[in-house]
Amino acid sequence: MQQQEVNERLDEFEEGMKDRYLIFMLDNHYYGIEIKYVIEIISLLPITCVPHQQEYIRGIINLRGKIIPVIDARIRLGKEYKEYNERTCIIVVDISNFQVGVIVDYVSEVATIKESDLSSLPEIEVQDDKRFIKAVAKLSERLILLLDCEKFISSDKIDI
Amino acid sequence: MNELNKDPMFEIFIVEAKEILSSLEKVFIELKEGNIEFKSAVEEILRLFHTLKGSSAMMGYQDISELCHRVEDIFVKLKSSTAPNFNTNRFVLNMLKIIDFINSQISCIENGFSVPSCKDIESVLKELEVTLQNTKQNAVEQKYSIVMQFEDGWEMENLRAFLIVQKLKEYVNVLEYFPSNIEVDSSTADIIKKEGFKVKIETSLGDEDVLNLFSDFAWIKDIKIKKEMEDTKESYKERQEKEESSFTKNMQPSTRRLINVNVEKVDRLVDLLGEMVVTFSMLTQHPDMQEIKSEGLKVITLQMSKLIRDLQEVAMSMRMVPLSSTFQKLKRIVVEMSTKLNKQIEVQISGEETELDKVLIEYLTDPLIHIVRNAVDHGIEEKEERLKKGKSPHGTIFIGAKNSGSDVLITIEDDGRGLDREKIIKKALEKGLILEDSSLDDQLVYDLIFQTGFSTKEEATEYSGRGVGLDIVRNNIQKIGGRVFVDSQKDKGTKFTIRVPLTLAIIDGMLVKVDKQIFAVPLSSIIETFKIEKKEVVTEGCYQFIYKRGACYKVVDLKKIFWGRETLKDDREFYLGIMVSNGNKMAVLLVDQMVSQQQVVIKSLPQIVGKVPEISGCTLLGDGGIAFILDIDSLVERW
Repeated sequence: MQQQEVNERLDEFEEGMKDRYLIFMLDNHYYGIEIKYVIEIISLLPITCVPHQQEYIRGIINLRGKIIPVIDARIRLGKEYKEYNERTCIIVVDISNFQVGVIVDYVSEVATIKESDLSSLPEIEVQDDKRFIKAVAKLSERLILLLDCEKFISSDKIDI
Repeated sequence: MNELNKDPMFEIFIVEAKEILSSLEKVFIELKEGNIEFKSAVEEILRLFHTLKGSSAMMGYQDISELCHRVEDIFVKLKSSTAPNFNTNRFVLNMLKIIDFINSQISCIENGFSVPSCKDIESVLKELEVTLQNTKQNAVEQKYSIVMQFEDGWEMENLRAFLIVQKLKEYVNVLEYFPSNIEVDSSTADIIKKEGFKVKIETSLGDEDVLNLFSDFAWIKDIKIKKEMEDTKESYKERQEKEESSFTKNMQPSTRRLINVNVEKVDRLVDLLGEMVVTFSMLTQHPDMQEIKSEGLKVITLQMSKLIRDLQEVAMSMRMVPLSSTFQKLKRIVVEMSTKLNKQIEVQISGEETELDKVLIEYLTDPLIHIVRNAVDHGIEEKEERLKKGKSPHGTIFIGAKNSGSDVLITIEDDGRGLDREKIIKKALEKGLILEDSSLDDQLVYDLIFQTGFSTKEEATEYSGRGVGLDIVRNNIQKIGGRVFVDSQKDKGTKFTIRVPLTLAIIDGMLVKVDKQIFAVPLSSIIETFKIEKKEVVTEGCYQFIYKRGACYKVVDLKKIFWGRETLKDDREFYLGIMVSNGNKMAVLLVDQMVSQQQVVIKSLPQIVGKVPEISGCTLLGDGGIAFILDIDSLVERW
């Protein structure tokens, strides 16, 4: 889906952010993030690598004058790193005024997922890091793993 | 009550009340130290309480207003005395209690809590009032005749005159006034307009005080006060002329030279200016701009650049606040503690006009308070002990501040008993902080007091000794990019030195390249830069050194620190070395090349990014890239 179209859809979200998710892909698996966290979607920007970080934290980018950290969704979920290409996007999310960019293979669409579409985790075999997955949904024959955005974004380290 | 919070009048009241209380505190401390004349102190105190009384009454806080009134009563009785004949120490302490109380009432009002009743402070007030009953007053009653001219356009001059008379009656004996039937006859307004309003009074108040009685009335344009002296005829006329000339004053209210600005607005301004610096930089470095070879354009660009720098300086300076109020706080703590502990301690302050970023001051206040408490509690000995040692019976604490390069140096020094080296070593051995008494450097021993849980005082007192203080002090100071050192000499004293950067937001930096990454080295830490040949570097184990002018310096290989690769393994003829200092030690940084020198707006690394000890922040470059700002302190100390 074109980045433009997705951004347009994001503008519509005043009408009801509830139950609306941004769907993106890693390999051929579908994932969803609640739209209320998403600020924008951008194509890949030059990433300045910060030394001595955990592998999933790729570094920082300059987003119109603001310095934002970016994390690799694949690595965060326990998958292997894949080289970025022209389809790779960064989903910028905002949680309590902290902004983080999430690098994904491909952004698919904005979809409405109701309670009735959800099923609980144990039923499905999932190889990803289960910590970050809130629930699973079935949407038009596809299986979509819904992420717990706050856990996904936050740092693993405990403050000393 | 909460709707009032949005009322600007409310905010102004709170701010002004706090300022008045702060000024009052200062006066009382100066009074105790004997630094100001009793008479002028009383005048100032009266003026301040009077203002507070008025504004709190206006805002509807009758409790506070009445409290001020009672205090005013106490001081009015002291007006004609040139010196108190009661125990000033106790008096001042009590007054400070009252000021604290009013301060807490103001805080409660500010935060919407219920205000404590003045009954709580009743006992203190009573004590003060009793103290004064025993004072003798040298009351000399004098007669004054006063003529006032009112401003045009205020109208109802007769009623205004009536208000003045009412007020005068509270303070002095009003003998007569003309026109006299002002409250009933409105035609008297015309008489006042033409000839002014005349009053004759009798009072023991001094000249200045009589004049001040009229300061509340904004409509008085002009006022002439004549003292009627029963004196020898020869000097009478001279006296009269002198008094007249000194008393005629223009009744314009003095305008304050300060305004209060919301800190967030200033922060926003600084941020925007920072972005302007970057954007302008992007403009001038744009390839299309580089192609235009116009001299005129270059001149304009330079002018613009200078304007932006100047703007930045002004914005930064708005956040700067002098240390004087912080030092006043410290002084007060010494005054209070020394009275309670029965020690005689004098405080000497220097450099309080030195300015520091407001936020930094907020972080520094608690650490400074802690150090001062230590000095009073542990440092300064009691009178007998001092005399035995041949010292003066009163101890001194020196609090000073001065600019040093791009830092501010704050020192707290006492002439007390100094740090006990043996005791510290013993305690450190107990806690396992050091392995054996291996003839440690004095400096290292004293540094141990900053470790967690360290305190050589056997029992905790109300003020200190729980051993949780100095490590937090060091942490807090390091948080704002500062450092704290301590030096001491047995029986001579102890000196704490705190070094903090002037401001957090902008520094002059030298940009260097290591591999493909650009780093900014704070210019203030650079001593010199030079070329290094491979053979000059001496390797010993995992350390590398270089000799320069006979001295040996550690080589810090940035490529190795960040990416684990050795710069020296690159096949090059020359390498680039930058000698840096953190104020304590020096080292030589190894980089690939120098890029440029420019002002750098410091941005902090985002929270989610794990802390990298050698990097203190980052900055945006003109081409949109990001450079890391090096933490020279950690580089020099750790590597």
